[in-house]
Amino acid sequence: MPVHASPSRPSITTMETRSANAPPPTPSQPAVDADVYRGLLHSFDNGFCLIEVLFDEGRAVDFRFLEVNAVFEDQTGLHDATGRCIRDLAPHMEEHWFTLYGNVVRTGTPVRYENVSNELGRWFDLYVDRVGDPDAHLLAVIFRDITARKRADDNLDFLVRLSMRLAPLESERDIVDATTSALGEFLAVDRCYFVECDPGRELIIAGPNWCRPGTASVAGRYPLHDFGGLEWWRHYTSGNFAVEDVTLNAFTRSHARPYDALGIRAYLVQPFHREGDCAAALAVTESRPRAWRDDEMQLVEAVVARVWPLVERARSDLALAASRATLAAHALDLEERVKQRTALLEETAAELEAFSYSISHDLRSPLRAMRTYAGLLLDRCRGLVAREEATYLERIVEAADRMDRLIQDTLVYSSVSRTELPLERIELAPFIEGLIRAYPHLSDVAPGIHLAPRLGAVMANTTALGQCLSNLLGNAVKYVPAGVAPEVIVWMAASRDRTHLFVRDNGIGIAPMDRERIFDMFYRGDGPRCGTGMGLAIARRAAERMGGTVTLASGDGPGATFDLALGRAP
Amino acid sequence: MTSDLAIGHVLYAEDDPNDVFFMTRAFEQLGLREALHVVSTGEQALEYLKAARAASAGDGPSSMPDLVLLDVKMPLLSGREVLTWMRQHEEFDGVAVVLFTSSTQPSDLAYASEHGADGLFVKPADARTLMRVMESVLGSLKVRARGEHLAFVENRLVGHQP
Repeated sequence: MPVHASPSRPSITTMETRSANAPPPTPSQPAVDADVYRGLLHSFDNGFCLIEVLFDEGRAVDFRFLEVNAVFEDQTGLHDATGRCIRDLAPHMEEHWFTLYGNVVRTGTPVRYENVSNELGRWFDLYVDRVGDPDAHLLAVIFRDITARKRADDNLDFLVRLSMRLAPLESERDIVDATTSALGEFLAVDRCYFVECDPGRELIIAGPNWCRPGTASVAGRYPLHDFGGLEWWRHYTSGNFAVEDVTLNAFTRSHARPYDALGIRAYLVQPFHREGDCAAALAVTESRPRAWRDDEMQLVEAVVARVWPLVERARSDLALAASRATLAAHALDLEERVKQRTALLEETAAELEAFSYSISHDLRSPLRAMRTYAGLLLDRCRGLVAREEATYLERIVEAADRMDRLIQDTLVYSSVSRTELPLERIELAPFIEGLIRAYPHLSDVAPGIHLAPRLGAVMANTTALGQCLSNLLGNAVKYVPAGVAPEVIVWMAASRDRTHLFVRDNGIGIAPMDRERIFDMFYRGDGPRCGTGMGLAIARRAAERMGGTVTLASGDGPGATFDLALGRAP
Repeated sequence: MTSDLAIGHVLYAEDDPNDVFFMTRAFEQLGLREALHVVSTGEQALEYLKAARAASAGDGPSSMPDLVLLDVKMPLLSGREVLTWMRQHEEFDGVAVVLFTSSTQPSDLAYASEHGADGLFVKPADARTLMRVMESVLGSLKVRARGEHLAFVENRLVGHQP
């Protein structure tokens, strides 16, 4: 290429011309040689060029580089520009440059200008002034490539706008969509999407894609193995993973097929790390090779760092809302179930109440009639019949009285199951003695019932304890072999927090097969002296209502021993 | 023992023939058999009371009973309901009402006292006690001023042995 820059060229005389137009230097001020300025311009770290603007019919249409300095090539990317026209070097140079230069040539007014040349792919900040003879159409241009600064500004501006756009969004999908579309458009890529690796590290999951029209989404799940396994994933998410061309990159070329299937030739990935692990990555792809710039990598990194925490928050909000809803549903369900059960229980209780009311009325009416008639007969016949007949009538009256008591006791027992039973300290010896007196079936055999000395006291309820012990003692005296007088021994033993009252009889014992069933309601043992079958069931229930238990301590015979355990009295 | 208890008449509603027999016998022994009018259902008691009300509204001699004895538990219309009906109609304000029940359930007692009965008795299981109960009821009926209610009594207050 011819080099035109020489001291004899008009460009030099430009400086001289200007010196000539200026006041002549005073003798005491030595004139600075033009070479000094030239040297300065050439060593300057700003770009410098001297151009001649070419006009066609009064319109600036091209310009020729007459002289460029050392950093010119760096700052513009134009090689061997000196002596050549811009239309030759960059055919699509934007029109605004010619308009600007033409104006400066015509007006002679220096201009400070900042603009982009897409043709050169750079932003410039420049100072333009006319030099030399106005008719020579010469301009001096001092400029800087401000592309990096400009991109940094634009990226920052993008991040600010993105933040504002995301601020009102709550759902993960909205956040992801807004982010990928904004970034995809801004970087002018084919696709933009988030990628995650599943917890088992077997799949990579590409989230919803933003795609340029005509580009297919690659959203979906892919076997990690297809892309090179965990080693690839670590590399993929190590940061600044930029592949200009998957067919050439050392990490991707052996797996070029899946990329090809997805229409990915170049891509850039930035990860988001949480506690050392890669939580997710943000990817942009191109179907053609693309050299990724540093500022693009930084931008993607900044975006994922800002956006992924928002996605995670949206997820946890959703999970929280879901668990709240589940909790609320459970609470509602529980409430409903409690309501149903309570209603059922109330119904059952009401039925039981009605049942016991009915028993109380209907069972007792005929009994009362029998007893009254027997009483009337006894009155009528007194003195008329033999003493033996009178005794029979008395027995009828007594039996009716007993049966009435039994009915009433049963009713009391059923109410015992339903009402609160306040516990109090009860001295056992006087209580049991009173019980034996009150119940004829016990008082009849009282000499056979032996209470150990110092029985002590228990925490119990008078009614329930009466029910319990009268049945245990009644049971004990009932099952004796024919011809044998009942012998019952009652004694006490204390454990840490319980008092055990043992009742041992000399009865027939309890067969092993019956031991589980004797406490069942209406279960009756064999034999001539069958009871109502409620005795032990009532005894156990009453004990349980007092927080105690009734168990069979020994049934092997001779006789059986029952154990009534109650709370210790203080 | 009978003349000092002389009263107008008593309506007795009871579905159990045995109880009717015992009550009739008690009135007989008190010399008041003629005063006792017996019906066997709540409906009949209501019919009787309505007729009595109509008669007493006319010029003729009042046939309103002085005392109504009601069995609590009768099929269909129970003694409770007859009592409630009577206390809803002020024409019967001057009529004493005493309930009889087989039950020792506290609910009957509560119902009777809350609904304006003058007394409640658990039916005694022997004839002598029943007679004493009726003697006591009729005695208190005689001393009370016409138009006033009896002080509410339940079986224990008149010395009934349960």
